[in-house]
Amino acid sequence: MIGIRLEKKNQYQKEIDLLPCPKEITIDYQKEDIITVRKKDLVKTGMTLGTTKEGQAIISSATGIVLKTTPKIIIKTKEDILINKKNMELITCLKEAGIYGLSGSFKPTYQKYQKAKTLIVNAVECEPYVQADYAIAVNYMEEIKTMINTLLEQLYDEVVIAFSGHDRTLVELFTTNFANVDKVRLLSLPNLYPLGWEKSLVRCIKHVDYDKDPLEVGCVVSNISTIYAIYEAYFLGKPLYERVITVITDNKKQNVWVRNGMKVKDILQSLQIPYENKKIILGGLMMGKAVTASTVVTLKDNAIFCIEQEKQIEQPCIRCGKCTNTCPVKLQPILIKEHLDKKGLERLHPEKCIDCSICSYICPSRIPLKKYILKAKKQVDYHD
Amino acid sequence: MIKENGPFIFTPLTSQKMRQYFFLALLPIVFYSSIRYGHLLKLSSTFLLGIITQIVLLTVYTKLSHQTFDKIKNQIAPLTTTLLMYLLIPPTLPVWAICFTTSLYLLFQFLYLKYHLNRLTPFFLSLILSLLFFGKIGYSIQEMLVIPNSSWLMNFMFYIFPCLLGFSFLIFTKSIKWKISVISLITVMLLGTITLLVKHQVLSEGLIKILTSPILLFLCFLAPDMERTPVSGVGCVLYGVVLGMTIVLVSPYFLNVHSVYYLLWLLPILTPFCDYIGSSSAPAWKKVAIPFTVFLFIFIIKLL
Repeated sequence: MIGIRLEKKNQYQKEIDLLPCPKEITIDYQKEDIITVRKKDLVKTGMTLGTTKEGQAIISSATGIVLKTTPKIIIKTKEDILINKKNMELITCLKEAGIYGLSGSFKPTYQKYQKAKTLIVNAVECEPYVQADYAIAVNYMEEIKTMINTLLEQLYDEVVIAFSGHDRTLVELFTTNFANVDKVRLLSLPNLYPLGWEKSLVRCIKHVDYDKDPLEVGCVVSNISTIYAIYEAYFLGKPLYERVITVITDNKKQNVWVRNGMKVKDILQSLQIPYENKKIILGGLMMGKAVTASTVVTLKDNAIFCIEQEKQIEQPCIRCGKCTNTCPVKLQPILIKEHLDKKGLERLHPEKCIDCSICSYICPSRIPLKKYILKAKKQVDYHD
Repeated sequence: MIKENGPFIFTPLTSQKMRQYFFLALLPIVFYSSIRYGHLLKLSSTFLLGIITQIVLLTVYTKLSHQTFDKIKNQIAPLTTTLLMYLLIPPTLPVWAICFTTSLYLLFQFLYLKYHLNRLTPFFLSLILSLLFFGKIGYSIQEMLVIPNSSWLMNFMFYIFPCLLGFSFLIFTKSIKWKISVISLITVMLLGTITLLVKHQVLSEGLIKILTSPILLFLCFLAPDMERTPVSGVGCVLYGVVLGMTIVLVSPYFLNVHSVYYLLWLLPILTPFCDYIGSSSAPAWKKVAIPFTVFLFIFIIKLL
């Protein structure tokens, strides 16, 4: 197993708070998507606003009046009226309820839910301090169990639940609920980063590598939050328009339900967190991005950090080789950096990078290697 | 709007800390050398003189070049290099010779800063030049460390132990490419055992010399020098094997350990080759090079 142990405080927060609906919601979409609502239309929570190029529904996350439809849909919110989409066949339900993989890949779930041998439920939350999946698992274990049984009946031969074994509550919870369930296997993994990565999980379970899609080796990987979202859509008729996010400051940590399209500042203001002169990070500390307070939160974001941070000063490379030895895809980040704008860059395969940021984290000279790899990726794409 | 990409946390181990750990790792062997040699006062004054010369020259340079002292000091790390110099240059040298070696070292360091050469290169350059000039005056402290006519265990207790203690500390703090040292030591042991078995007198004497001599210091501290050795894991293993084999072949035929300075000076020529083999971009090379090295290894043993 390739990975590194990151500093992680094991203070888990299982409560999930509700946030008030903001005055305005911004829903992003791609140019190729077809939007069916128009300006001044009244939309309800859970209503379909249009369809993506893949045929997936774009869901409204609030009730209100549409102010604008281009380049983003802006809704002035009113009192919530929820639309229910019940009694549908599973795959149609995934499409109509706008279910996406909530692990970060953000692919339409209906596309990958095909008949396969194994379903891997990913409850390994390896990003430090993030515990959105943990909160979902602890609070909604019965619902997750029901959904896994349904999926076993309809699509899969076996289910493997992979989780991080360092937290006792989680281990006990999974053991009591699934230890004696037929066709369900539990896999406790060490607290290593990036073990939650799809390819690492498949390698741990199947002992084989795949090229592009886990289906090549008969696997479908789904995040535990996605399983709960599918439960809500299939059994309760609730489309996917909100998710649990962990909000972390220097001295506070809490889980909240956040609607798709809320602004970071709305969330921080609702939680009474001062954000001026602080760094706001959307996503985890490793793979996340520093953003402005007016950035819109989407369903693929699982955490918001509002912290103070020292600036790192880049030093010359000492060729310690730590970046090369820890890379989960066996790239040579420092050589990629040295080969930028030069011939032979494509031989180092920067396009294989999974953006895990271990190279930049581990570098004792604080060289922002990830930045250089992203640049190299663009150069290789350009030449292709 | 995205301002910056992750990560936003970093390993606590910085390159500056790694240099500090290297300094700490050298301390046991320095203390032992001081006690063993006996002239504690003279050695301390040599050590202090090395540091003072460096600090004076750095201060003059920063004044002349209008740079900040801290920036230059961080790049040059006077303490660690003086400590290494203390272990490697003959203590019987006159005061002016120590000042000369230190100044020479600094001169090469500035060249490093200007042309981004390797960091230990200036150190080796100054050392080799000094030894060429003053080598005949006396042996280095390290060469005097081995207790003459004493048992292997005695030497182990008083020489190998402090050396390995420092080395273990560097492994524990992850501040060293341990693969190079460990693999080269294993190669030396393996080849040495074979030469003992085939009763090759020169080489088997060489083995004892290696394990109870300053070469151990080179293998533990200087050979895995980060900047001049391969980056990849496979490259490090290969480099370690070649280093071990070369040491066994070269060291018994030389009376002093100066030959190893030259060896460590020359061997990094192999680094790009080892990196190429260890690189993910050369899978075909990997398949050929590793069996080739094993074949070379067997061939040399046969030759012996």
